[in-house]
Amino acid sequence: MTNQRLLIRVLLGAVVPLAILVIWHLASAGSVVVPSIGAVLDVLVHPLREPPTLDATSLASGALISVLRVLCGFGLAALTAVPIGVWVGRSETARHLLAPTMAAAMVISPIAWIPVAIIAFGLSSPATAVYGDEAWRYGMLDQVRFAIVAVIWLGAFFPIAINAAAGAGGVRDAHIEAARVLGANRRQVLTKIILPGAAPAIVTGLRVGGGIAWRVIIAAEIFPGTRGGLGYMIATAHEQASYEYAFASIIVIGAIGLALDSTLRLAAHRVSRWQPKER
Amino acid sequence: MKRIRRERFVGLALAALLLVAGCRSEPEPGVGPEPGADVQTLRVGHVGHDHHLSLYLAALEGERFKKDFGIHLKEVKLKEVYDLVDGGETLARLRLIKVGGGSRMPAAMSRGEIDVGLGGVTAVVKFADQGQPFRILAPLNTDGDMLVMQKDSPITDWPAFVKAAKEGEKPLRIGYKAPVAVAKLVFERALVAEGISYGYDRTEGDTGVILVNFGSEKSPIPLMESKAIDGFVMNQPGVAVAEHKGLGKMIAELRDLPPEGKWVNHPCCCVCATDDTIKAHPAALKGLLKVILLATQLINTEQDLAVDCASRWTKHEKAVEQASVPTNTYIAEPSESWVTAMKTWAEMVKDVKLFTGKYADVTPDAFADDALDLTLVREAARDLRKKGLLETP
Repeated sequence: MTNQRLLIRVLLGAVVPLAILVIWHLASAGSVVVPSIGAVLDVLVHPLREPPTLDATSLASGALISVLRVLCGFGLAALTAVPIGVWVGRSETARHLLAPTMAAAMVISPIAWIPVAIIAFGLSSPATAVYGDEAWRYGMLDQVRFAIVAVIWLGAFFPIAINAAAGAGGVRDAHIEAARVLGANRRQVLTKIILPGAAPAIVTGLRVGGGIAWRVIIAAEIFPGTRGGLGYMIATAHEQASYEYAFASIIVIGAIGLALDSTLRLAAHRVSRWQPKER
Repeated sequence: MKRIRRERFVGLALAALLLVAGCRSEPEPGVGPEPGADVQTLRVGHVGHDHHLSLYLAALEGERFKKDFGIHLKEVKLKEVYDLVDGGETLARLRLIKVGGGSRMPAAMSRGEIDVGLGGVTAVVKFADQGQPFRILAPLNTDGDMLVMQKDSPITDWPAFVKAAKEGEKPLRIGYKAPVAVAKLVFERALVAEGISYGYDRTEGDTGVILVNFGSEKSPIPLMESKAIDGFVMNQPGVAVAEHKGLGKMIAELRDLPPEGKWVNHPCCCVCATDDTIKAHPAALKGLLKVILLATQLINTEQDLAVDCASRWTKHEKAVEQASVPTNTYIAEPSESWVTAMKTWAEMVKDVKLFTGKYADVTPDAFADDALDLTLVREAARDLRKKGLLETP
């Protein structure tokens, strides 16, 4: 790529962000709700500072808590959805048993499950499960509330499972037959043929599920007893009219979401390298 | 190769993140009884705004309480864990849990997540009406609800509001935070008393006032700035925040609205508990009520301290709390006028058909007999008065 092309590419990429900044600057003039760019930058460059005008933990601590919750919910979704999805993709019985439920559940917003999750899990966390009334001593562990993790799990589970099912179902029978003719057992067929064949679809499902998990956290962090997290910070900032914290949280959410998606895209690229060759 | 390095970097970053989280999950040093000690834990739900200032002041001024009153809250973890200590004896460990406003506190109590709750009377009694075994143990505050209009509005007082609603070309759009909020219920009754028609939609005929729910925002600020509403009715500190941000002006305290005198001392927040908690932890509850009684006395006698504590706990700017705290009436010892106001309020709630359960067909006296359990707070006040710690109201 020549320097001139690179410059054009960078300039094109900067057009929309710059336009957003200009609109933001104009909108913030004389506004209470839209904070100035400077006020938001001040929050962003002091991520460890306890907000002086907000009943919340620091921005960095909030981000860490949110990331932990998402990792737990998303990790659990990946661990459960991939095997179930592959099973549904390869077994007619499983497909008849689970596919209609999965298709129906897929379209329900995970946020709708929040009251159910609260009833099912209350304020429990890994810390309360192990330490009971002394759970407060294990701050970060106590913040990973089961109810929040459950809602994230619900949000991420179905796209991953449905994509895994589609990927596993799309593996050509001819490949499986060929492997069997060559002496492969069931385990080898699964690990050498079906999983690699389904991998691009599974990773696509993980990307979609990861995005949903990250979006759900914002709503899920308004659970009773929550005192940290980016979603909590946004909700509290609205209540206390300290909107610079809401905007800073939104920017951090975008940045972390981008990082999460880039990681999964990298993984997608890696597992689907063989695809163009086949075509 | 480059890709592998990037993946390793991502892996290392994630591992570092979990390591940090793991380290943070080490037990934090605390004082007071260690796990396993025979001290009961009471989980106290609260909302986090200045209506519950008595609890926050007691928590922040523990050392002073210890010195002046003997009974105090000993900090174990700021804003979260306190030991309730009376003369050297630990009565209970209190876990303060911020559960959110409206119906969230009684909902958390109905699920067994908290034992004692500080929250709005309407939501608590609504749950009790539906069969939850909740009793109100003490009041926390009354009044503090206001009607606020846009800062540049020509309406500056209630008579002007009534005139504009009756004779104006357009209906006035007034926001409220929740369908069962005390402010909204009082405001509606005042509109009826003035003969002003109101509704929730422009299509509802010749309405003088359109009521607009803030929705999930729980804050009128965005609607005020966008001029989507002409004003709002709300409790403090929401009113003080809007005024401080230059978006509104308070034109009437709802306690002064018609019918004349009916809304004076209208109940707002209270302390409540389940029957099981009252039966199982009477000494701890009485101790907690003593602390709340003493803190309420301090709020009413040392306003600078009250404002300072409110600002330190809620993190609202001091100017906001300076405007908010004096407009709330803080009480913890139930006076006869408070009990009467509770009965008046129950009648109003019945009128708007909010009671559909056990309180739907009872008299105000029967309602008060069932919903209020003021034995512990009266005993606590008597004990404190015997020691000369509590002034006679």
